[in-house]
Amino acid sequence: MVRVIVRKIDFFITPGNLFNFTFVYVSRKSLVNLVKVIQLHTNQKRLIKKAQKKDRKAQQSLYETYAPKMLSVCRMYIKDLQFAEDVMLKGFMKVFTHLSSYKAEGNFEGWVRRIMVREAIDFLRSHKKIQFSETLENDAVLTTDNSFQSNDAVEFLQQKIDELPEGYKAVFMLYAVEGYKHQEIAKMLSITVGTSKSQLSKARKALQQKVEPQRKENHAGR
Amino acid sequence: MPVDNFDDKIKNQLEKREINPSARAWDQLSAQLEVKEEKSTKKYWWLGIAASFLGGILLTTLLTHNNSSLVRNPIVVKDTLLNTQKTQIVVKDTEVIEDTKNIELDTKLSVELKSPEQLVENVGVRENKEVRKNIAIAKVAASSKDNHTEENQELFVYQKIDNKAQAVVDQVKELSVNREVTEEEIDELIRKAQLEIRTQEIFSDNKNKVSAQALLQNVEQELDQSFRERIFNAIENGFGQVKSTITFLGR
Repeated sequence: MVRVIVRKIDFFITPGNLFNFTFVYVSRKSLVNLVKVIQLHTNQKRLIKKAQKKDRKAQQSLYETYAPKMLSVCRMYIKDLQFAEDVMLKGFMKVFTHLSSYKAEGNFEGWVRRIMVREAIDFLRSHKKIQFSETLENDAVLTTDNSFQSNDAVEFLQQKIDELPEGYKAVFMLYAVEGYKHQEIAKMLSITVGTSKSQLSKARKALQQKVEPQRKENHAGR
Repeated sequence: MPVDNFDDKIKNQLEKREINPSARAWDQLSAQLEVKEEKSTKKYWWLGIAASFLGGILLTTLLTHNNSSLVRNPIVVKDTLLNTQKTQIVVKDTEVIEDTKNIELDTKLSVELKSPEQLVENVGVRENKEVRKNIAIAKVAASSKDNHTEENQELFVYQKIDNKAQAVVDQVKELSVNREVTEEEIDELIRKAQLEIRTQEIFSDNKNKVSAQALLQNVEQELDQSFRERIFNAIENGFGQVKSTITFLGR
């Protein structure tokens, strides 16, 4: 299956009025991109319909399309990659068994992602990893470990996020990355809205302290 | 760094990332899906069996209920017509017309038999100086040789009824020679004849046991008093009360 990531579609639209007809001029490149997007969307719809009928090949195709992204989502919350993969598989299991409840109007990727996030939160809760402390118990976590000088900025960022306490990390990820509101986060994590807000504030501050020196070093190096 | 800017930067960096799962991940998921689908198929299979079993019970209950409602329907017995058999076969209907003066008599006697064969006798005496005697005889000859005794019993019962009917007609004729016979007298004669036949039936000579069905019919007939009788009884009771009151006051 061909995966096309359309970062930007260049539209050059110039409306002109000639003989009471409106002409729209679209550049050839953007038109090709648009056709590809439509094709991808149609293929995805077809795949989902087949997967709903328990077509294993269609399910595999959907899995192969979304698994790398979803494993990344799970990894944001779960430090151990093996556990993250287990959670992702559990999430896909839910996706395929509840696929009939998915309405074609919504964004499929968003729907799958929400399932993955909930699975990750459930995993953390079941392993009692989420603790919402008001103060950082271990000052060592705040110390920036610059020994790992990864060229990959994302890996470095992930490492710094992993150093945060689970409570901080969960609230920060849900708010900053997933875009949930404090009320929704409070409901998901069974905490108060106030706790959610304070955890976010502390997580952000801690993460800034960890990330900023690295950034400055990187800038200075250039 | 502004808060939103910081959040966005982290979000954008993380969103770009993709991590390829291990090669065996799909096989694992596929195996899990197969197990789940098998389980759900088995569940539906059991559901199907349970549903068909319940349906069978429901159908049986409905059928049983319908049959019982049929059985529960009361058998209406009108006047002297007694008909308690489920099926009634009328094979023959002959009319014998005889001359008589101002007599009307219409009585039907139906006799219950224990075998499917039936015997129905109608005795009719109609007005305008003619007596109609309707005799409906149903006789179904038994095909097997083992039914000889039952056949004899039927013939015996038939003869008995025939004799009794003839006796009633003779009595009516005798009475009509000297004077005019009233309807009440004829009714009384017929009722007596019926009572005698039924009593004989209840205390069956051969088997020396009581027929519950016949007893029930008898009681029902006793309960089913005619309107005239009830009026007579009421007048009689009233007269008795008035008489006793007058006697009491006279003292």
